[in-house]
Amino acid sequence: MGTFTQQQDKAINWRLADLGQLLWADWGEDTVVFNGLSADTHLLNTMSLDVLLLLAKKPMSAEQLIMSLANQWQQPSEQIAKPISSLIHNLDCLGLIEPEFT
Amino acid sequence: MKIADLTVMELQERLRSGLVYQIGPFKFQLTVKNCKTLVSQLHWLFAHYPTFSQPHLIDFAIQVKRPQLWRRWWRPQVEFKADGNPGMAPFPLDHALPMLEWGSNWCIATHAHRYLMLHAAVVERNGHAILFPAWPGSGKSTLCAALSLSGWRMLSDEFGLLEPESGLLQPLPKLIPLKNTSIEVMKRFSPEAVIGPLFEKTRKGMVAHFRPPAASIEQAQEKARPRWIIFPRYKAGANNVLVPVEKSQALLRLANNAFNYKLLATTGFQAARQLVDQCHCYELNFDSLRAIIPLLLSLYEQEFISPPVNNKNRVVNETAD
Repeated sequence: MGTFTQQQDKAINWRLADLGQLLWADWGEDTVVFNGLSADTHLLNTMSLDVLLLLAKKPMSAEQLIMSLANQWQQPSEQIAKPISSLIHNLDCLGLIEPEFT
Repeated sequence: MKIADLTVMELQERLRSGLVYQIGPFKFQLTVKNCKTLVSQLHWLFAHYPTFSQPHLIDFAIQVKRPQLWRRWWRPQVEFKADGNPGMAPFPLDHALPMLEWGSNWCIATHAHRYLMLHAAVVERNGHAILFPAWPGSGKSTLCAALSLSGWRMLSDEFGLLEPESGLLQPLPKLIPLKNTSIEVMKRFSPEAVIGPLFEKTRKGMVAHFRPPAASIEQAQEKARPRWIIFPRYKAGANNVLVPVEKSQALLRLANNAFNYKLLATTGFQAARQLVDQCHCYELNFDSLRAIIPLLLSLYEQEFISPPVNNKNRVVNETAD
């Protein structure tokens, strides 16, 4: 599984690795996701969960994702751009999301 | 028939050709040759396990034997053999019992994948079980042994065997290897504690084995419903208080604490999720068995005897020092 630099992220769309392989547990606190592809279990905070939920709806570029989240959280996009880019990188490393090749 | 029903000589004879005995759901066929001390230790500490004279389907064929040649005379050693390769280096001859116990743990941990195997002690009261998942050194074994002499049935010390289909915990009442200061703690805790010989300088320090109470072994086919998950940790000066743990955190801790969670993949996750779902989850830092035994009893009574209380409330032991 490849990982991408922040600059490359802007040019590509991201999607969930395989929605069918993700199992969820949610008791109203943090969310736990199990990735059937890696058999790894991850504890997701709200920010990570929001990113995954958005990408579950449709693939997005990093830029689109930042705009959507800025809108959703009512925060300036410049403020969240860096943490979201970093989060995309981390989620990619964990195998939860992947670049969409068309 | 139980092992106690055999004389030591009969046991020795049966061990030469392969003694079949059962612990929880597993039947072992144990062959022991030229280890007289081990035979008498087994006669005492395995006394309550059922044994079978007729041929039976067995889960594990294991051997404890002495290597050939010069090691028979110079620093005598003993080896553990099983199907597969446990990869255990020989132990000193007088450490045959700890070797047998660790070797049989290896057999279970590497084969019993019909269960989600959690590294946890389990005790039960009227069908309702507490699971104590913990890493070595947390005081889990001492706690389990003490509770088994305080009105709780011991299901297991090392393996919390969870059946994914039923969500029930399967007993596996193996000997409890008490280590270092825990040995004295248990001796002082109760004169009823049956504790085997002391093995010094093992790879885990000083070890002595606590024999599970007869009732735990006799009821080893009675599964229990998990109700509480408590992550224990012995810590000097601890306040002996149960502190709720978020279920998501509990699930993650269980996942990191199981023998075969990743191997079972989605089945493992679903079993762990269902387990957490039906349990109250706590953390327990303790430094006194006398303080936490009434605390755990009150936890049981609050749930099943008194009117239900909000499980988010802290359960505080009022009698703790």
